[in-house]
Amino acid sequence: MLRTLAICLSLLLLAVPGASAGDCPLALEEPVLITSVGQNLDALIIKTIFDDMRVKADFLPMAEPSALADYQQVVISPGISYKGMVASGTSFEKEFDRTKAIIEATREYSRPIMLMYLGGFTQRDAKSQELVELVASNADVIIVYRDSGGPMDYFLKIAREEGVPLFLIDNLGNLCEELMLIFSPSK
Amino acid sequence: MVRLKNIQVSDTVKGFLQYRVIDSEKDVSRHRKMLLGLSFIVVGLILPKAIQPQIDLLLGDLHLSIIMSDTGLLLLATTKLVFFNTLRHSPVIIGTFLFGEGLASKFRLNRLVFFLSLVLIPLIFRVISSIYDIQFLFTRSSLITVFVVLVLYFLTFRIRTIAIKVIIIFLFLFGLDWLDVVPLLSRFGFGGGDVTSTIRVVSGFLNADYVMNYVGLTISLMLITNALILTRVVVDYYNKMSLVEKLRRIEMEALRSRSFQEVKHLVHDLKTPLVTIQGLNEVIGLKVDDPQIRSYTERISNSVEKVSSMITQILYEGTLRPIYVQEIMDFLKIHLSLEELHSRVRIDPPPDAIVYANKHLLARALINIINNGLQATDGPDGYVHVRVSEEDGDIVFNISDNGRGISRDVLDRIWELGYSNGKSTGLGLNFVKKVVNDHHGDIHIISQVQVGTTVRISLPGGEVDNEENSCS
Repeated sequence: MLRTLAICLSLLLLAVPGASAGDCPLALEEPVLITSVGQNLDALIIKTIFDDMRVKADFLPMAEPSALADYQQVVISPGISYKGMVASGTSFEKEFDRTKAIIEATREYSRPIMLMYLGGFTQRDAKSQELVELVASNADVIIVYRDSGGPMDYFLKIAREEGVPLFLIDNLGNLCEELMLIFSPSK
Repeated sequence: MVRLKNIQVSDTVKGFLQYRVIDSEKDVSRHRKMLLGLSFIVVGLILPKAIQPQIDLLLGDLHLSIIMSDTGLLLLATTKLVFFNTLRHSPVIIGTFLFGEGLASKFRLNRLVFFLSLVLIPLIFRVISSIYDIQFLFTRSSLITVFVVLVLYFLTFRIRTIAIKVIIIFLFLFGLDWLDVVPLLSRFGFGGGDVTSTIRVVSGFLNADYVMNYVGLTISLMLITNALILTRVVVDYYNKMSLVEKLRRIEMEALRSRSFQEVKHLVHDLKTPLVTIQGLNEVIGLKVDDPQIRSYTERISNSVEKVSSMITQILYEGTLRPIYVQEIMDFLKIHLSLEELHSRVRIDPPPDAIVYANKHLLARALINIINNGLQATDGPDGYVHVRVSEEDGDIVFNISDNGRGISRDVLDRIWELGYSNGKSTGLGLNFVKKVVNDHHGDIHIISQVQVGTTVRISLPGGEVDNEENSCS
């Protein structure tokens, strides 16, 4: 109990201006669609965590916009794994177009987008940054692993200028507990 | 080599021929190194394509490790990744070093290896990165590249065996690549690649950071330490071998010297039968009236006197006589011709002057210096120039070459008995110094690296004594 309290407190302290105490916990509408744009494996970790959290979620690495009709929310993990793209038989251009199409579909179906950034792919990569910027500018919530090595300045700027709630995760080993504090699954 | 078997040749000729053989072996070795280096670089360019499917399979292992929350699978995938990364790095680095060494040896610029590697290694890695979309340790920070190349250069530049060089470079790089997957070091720029980043995130997710830090750092430390120890052992071995070789040469020289002493005893013994021949020849001359036979006995008598004088010169080599410089130079030319050294030696006409000298010893000392000069000059433009002049009553021999010169630290030790640059016994210049001292002269060396060397020998001049000089 004390541990949960401590984590919640630290999250409150870490939350940047975009995410106030009132934003936590967030409502999580089920079922959730999890997809990776750039074919990184972070999305699979998120799916595993959602399973641990007993959140009804599907991981569709190559999800198409039409799939959104069956889900209430979308979690997108942007970031390019070149080897992942080769294994999935896709390319950056295709992934970029798919991302744009998914974002348009979320508007059409009025589904909130959660951007989750853990950093399990090539860092300081211009193409990854393009995907991040495309998703972040349309995201309703941004969740970033603090030590991901990602573009933290950019996330802070988006949170400040666009007012998007931004949450920082301290420890990937406690991902489940930390996400439990952010999301409040609706039963 | 056939000639060496069929005819009797002096030690100097043998040495010179061996030097030529070694030189040609060096050419082969240098070309072999350059060719091998280029082959390694080509392999380095091709290998990423061959390894790529194996690395793609690693994603499957990582996928499984996430689903099954299996740290063992993560470690397996990590080990495979590090091994494949090293396999991709090493041919480029090994190839560049070998190519650089071959090239440096050709132009006698040892430092070229380091600077060439510093330019070539990142360049090749950038080419590979742009072809295959691979991020290497070397393409991330120029500081890391300089550090790695510097360490590997100093680790391996004294190692001549290519296989050992390959093993040491592989061990060191394998150790270094392990640092890429240590989560603790990610904040210092390690592990920014595609799969390594995934491994780091999966490690954090599986709470395996402690294991990954421990395993990664331990293996890295072990491999790098092993590479350093192996380098030390190999370098020590080379040093010992070089020392043993040097001792063996000195022993050979000592043996030759002992044989020479024995020959001198034998020569001395020749005097007894010569006295008998001379005595009996004179008796025959007195007892026979036939002018033809008398003429024969006179010729026998002259020949015996010449042989006797030659024996005296051999036995009393320390004896100095006034002798024309021209005579010494003629004697020198005959020996240079015999030892096949004359083609790259220019000798100016000497002055009409006299020097107190032992012709045999002085000529041998001059040949030693000429031989050293020739060894220092490679290529068709290399030459040795011998000039003799008269300065303030002294006779000055100047032997100059346009070779690689002698550095300051070597000059300080050059007269030491047994000191050698690795190609000689280290006895030659000591002998020269002794001969000059015995002649009451001075010797000086003036040298400039990559310009040449001049040896200046100054001996007291003298006046001719016809009686003393008649037998030489």
